[in-house]
Amino acid sequence: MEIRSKIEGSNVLVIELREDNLDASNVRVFREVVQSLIQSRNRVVFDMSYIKFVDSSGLGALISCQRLLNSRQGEFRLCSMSVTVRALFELMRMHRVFHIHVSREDALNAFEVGTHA
Amino acid sequence: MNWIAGMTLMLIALLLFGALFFRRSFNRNLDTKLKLKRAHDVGFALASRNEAILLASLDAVISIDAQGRIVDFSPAAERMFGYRYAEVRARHLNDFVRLPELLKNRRYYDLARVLEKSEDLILNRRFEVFAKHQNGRKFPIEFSIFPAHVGKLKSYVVSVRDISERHLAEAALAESSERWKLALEGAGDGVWDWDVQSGQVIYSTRWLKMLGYDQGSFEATHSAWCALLHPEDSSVVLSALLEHLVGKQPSFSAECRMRSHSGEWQWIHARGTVVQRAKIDGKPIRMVGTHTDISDRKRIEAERGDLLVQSHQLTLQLQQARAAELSVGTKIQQSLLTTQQNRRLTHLWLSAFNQPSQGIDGDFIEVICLSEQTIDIVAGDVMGKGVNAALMGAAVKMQLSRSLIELTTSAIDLGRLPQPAEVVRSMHREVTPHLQALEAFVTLCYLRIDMRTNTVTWVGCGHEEALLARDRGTFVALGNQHPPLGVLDKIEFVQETTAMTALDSVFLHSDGLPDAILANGERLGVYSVRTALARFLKLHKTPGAILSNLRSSLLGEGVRFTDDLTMLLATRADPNVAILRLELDVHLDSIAKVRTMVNEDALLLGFSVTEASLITVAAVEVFTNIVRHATGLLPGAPVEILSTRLPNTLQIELIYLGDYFQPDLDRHKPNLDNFPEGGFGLGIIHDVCDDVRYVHESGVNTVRLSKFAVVESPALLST
Repeated sequence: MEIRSKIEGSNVLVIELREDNLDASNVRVFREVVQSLIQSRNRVVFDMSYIKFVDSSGLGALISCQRLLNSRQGEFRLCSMSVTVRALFELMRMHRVFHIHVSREDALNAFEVGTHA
Repeated sequence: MNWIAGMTLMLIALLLFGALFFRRSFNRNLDTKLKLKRAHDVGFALASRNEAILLASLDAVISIDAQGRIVDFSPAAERMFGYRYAEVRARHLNDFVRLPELLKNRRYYDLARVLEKSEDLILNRRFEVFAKHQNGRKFPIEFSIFPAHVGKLKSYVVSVRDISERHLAEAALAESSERWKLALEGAGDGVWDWDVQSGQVIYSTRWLKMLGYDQGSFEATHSAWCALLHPEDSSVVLSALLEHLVGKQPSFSAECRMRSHSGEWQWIHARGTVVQRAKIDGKPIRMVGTHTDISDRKRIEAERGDLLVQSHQLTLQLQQARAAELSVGTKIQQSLLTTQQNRRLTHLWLSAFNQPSQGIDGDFIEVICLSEQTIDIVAGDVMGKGVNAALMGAAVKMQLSRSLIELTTSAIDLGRLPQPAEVVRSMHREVTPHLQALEAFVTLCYLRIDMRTNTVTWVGCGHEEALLARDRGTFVALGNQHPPLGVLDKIEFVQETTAMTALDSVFLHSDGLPDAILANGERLGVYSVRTALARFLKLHKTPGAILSNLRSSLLGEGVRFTDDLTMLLATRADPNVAILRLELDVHLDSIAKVRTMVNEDALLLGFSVTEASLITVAAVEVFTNIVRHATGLLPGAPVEILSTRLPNTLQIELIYLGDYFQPDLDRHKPNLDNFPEGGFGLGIIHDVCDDVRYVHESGVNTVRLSKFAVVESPALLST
């Protein structure tokens, strides 16, 4: 599993999963890696450009990240979500739970102005 | 006469008075005498008793005055010293008894002087000295002096015991001790001799040398010995020693590390025995023992232990290497030698199961797609088991491919495929000489299923007969025409052909299946196999479910396999229905296959990309639930996934052998307001699909998802 992360904008951790899926087959590793990455961060963007498929396990992992950051008044934003993945989020009404941005830039700017997309 | 009478009366009175007086006096005297007599009697009794004690006593009793002169000499003393009392009376005790060194050192030359100057030095103490007998012989005695003063008159009682016998015994013991000390020293052991009461120990030269000490350089005490013990050994050693000292163990023996003079730890085997105990309470008085240097033995033991460990490690490594070899071999066999279900085989569903008796085996199955409609299935069984058999199996398979390519190439011009008998003939020509050289043979069943002509053609060479199941019930045995390859040099190979239409199945198996031994000791046999197969062919539509149930019902607990086991079931699909079928390993890695298959089929039916994606998620959720939560799964059995394109409907079925499962939908509905991290799966399945069914039949679960298409698909029309 290839996970990239770097600090961009106003001290925002941007995480990118370079896989076409986030599902039960790889969610365990994803959870462990991402949980450790965001451990000391308050501003996190998860770039979903590469991801074409998310299942309920993947959804659960992202909610877990959201909870973690919410618990310490941090913010977790998603960006560059594919149409198919967006369809699942909408089906499960998760688009109301997450801050979803069309692009990484948009997500980073949201931290700058402190507003949601 | 009156005065005579008067005088007579007076005389009588006097006489009477006198008699009375005399009587009184006599009585008084008599009292005194009686008292005296009584006193005498008591004194006599005491004296007699004392004399009896003295007579009976083995110890001599000598009474002396303050000057040390003998005033009494008991009969025992007479016997001991050989003198009569009269001969020693008033003589000095010094004449008969030598004074202890202790007193001599203080320059008290005679007993009288000692007694005069320093009673406390000698009184109530026990001394061992030599005495002189009347005949001049010196003999050892033990004596004690007790004060027996009467008023101001000082006198003493000396108790003397002849200890000649004890000395002799001790000398004998010492002599024997010396003897075995010498013997032990000669044998290389160090010897120690411990006076338990005083704590003093005599260590032999060899003992000292063993630990690097010289005479005089090591404190000769028991506590010094204890101080040399290794901290980790001391408690064990000292408790072993204590157990012997108190008499719980007949001897003392302990192996321990002791610090040598140079500071290094040295392995010592310490042994010992109490050789003298107190007669009254059995307390140990003297203990002797040895030290044996066991450093070399310990080193060898350690080395031997290391060797054993190394040997064990080597054995483990060998086992691991063999296991790794088998594992690699098995993987190679399963991935390369056993043909996986090909996506292109939409009209023929295959399911196979292989269970090597030794991790890797000589059974093989090859499925060759000569065209969309023509499938060759070749099953072989190499004589023997394990890696050798597998290698031969691989060689035979390679020859099969080579023969097929050569024949196909040369037959291209003829516009036809090489016939099974031709391929087997070619294989025979190439492999039989090698098989004969190895004294081996291979059974073979070559099947060609032609869905264009609705036939099956076969060549059987000593293999378990293939079974053709028509209409899922009637069996036709596809018998052997030839012996196994490698048996005969020259054979004219023939083939036979029979009808095989849609929904018909062919069942191939190795002899490991009917040869399986049941729990009751009986052989499974072909009849049981056919009966069960007929039943499951009627119950289930997919070969995976049929084979799994066959295995589950026939080869349950207690069944033993003496040979490799291979089974294959090939079922012709209904050509009028567009069904894709895949076999999935029960593992989350199989999700990718589910995604690809369902997504492609959904798109093919005309669903939008988004719809197709959601249907795919639903199918993945079902599969993930099976992997994570299904119970009663059969090891090695696959999950079959069927994607059926019905008019306006995509039907996805996931089929597996397992316990009945019907989810409680209400219970699994998550409360989204709480940011739940799980429980979405069932929600997705039911939100996405128009119909969800959970069917359980004869051990086989089917989860059937239906999604209605909004528009009629052009792809549907084409099927």
